[in-house]
Amino acid sequence: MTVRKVRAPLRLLMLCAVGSGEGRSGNARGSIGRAVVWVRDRPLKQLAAWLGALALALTAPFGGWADASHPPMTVVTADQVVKTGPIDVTITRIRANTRPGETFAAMEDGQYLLVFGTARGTAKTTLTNGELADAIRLDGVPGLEKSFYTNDYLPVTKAMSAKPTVYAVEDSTLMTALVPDLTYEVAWVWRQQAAAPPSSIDVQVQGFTWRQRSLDDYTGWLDPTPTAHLRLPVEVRPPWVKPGATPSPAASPTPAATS
Amino acid sequence: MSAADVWRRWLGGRGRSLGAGVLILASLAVGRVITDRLPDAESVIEKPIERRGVIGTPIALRIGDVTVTEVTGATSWASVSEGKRTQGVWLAASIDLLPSRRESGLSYAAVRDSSGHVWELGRGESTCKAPIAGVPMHCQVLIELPRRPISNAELVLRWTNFDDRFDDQAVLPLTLDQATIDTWAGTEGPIKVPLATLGDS
Repeated sequence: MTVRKVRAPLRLLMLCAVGSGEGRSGNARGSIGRAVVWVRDRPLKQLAAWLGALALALTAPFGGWADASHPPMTVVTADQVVKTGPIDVTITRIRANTRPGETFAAMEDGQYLLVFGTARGTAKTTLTNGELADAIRLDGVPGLEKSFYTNDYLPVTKAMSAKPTVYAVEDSTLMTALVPDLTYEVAWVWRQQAAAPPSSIDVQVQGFTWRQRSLDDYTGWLDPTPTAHLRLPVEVRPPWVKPGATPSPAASPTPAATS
Repeated sequence: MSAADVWRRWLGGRGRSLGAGVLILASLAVGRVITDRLPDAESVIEKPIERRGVIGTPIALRIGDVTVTEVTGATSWASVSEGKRTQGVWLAASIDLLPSRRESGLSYAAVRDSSGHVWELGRGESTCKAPIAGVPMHCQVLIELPRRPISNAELVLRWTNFDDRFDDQAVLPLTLDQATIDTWAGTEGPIKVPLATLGDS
């Protein structure tokens, strides 16, 4: 852009703002006319770029590029049914254990956190895409493992990114899918690297949206978002000990401590 | 020169660009409306072909001949490596599979009803895997069902659960009335689930 073209809009702005004293209305009309002529003379690409920049600037009073705020979460109580979309969930209790059962490796530098509850599939088809694991998250807990046996322990600010592994309580087997119209007693399990578990935990229940994903046209239950939460105390239980083994002074000989 | 002439000259200079832009946007909008209104042809064309049969008769799929020899149920099952219980019932289908090609097997098994419910393998199991082309295989599939009658129930068996486009699947009618479900719910089991066996025996 030449120096003359840069000065021209500044001169016009000054004329529009200040005017010239006597005969101001005549000068104002002349200033506006010159401004219109000046804008009209701009190349179309330049006008389009300025309009785009103006639209971006106008977003500032409306939040700009900040994340949209989530709707407030409902506070629920233990055993209260929370509808997430494809799953009806209840949360009953939280336990901490260094070895909840035979199928779990003993933890030396932390403990397992087990959130017990129930899950009932209300969708018509079998849920096979991790919806059951995404239905529950723990907030504000330091040292949660991102997912089982990855040894990637997260800071407290990223606790919501830790994905649990879900077990059926009745037979301690993995719950990788949820069929319609069956209610299971389940445990959502995390590994935590910490000297001791928290005294209480804020458990968040996430709801889903049924929509099509634009990237690959997959249609399913997407966008897990916290919709309800409750705070429950954490009860520490003794670790599982192999029957017949000599219990350590700190451990109870009671087996299958998954409850 | 009047203001109208000035604007006419301004538009005349830029009219082609503006007009082209407007036409492109209008075409995109009209195209979007049309594609949203028309039915999705791909989902119809790609749907798996259904080969119907009954228990005891072979059904010819592209991966081989599938014969469901027996359907039973109980509240638990046990294999060589694990066992599972349920608050519902476990449906166990015994299958004879004669694979026609190297890539064969039955990794997809489901029970569906006329209301759109589909109960897939989920926590269940299929031992109909890794067969040998031309060698008969005797195997099982186990599917978890709720403890209630399922009207117009059908058993669906297919090679894979990853991609069903243009594939074929075996479909058999099932009788899952109250009496059957009650019998299975009263059977503690466990249903024995051995490894799949090969050969004619």
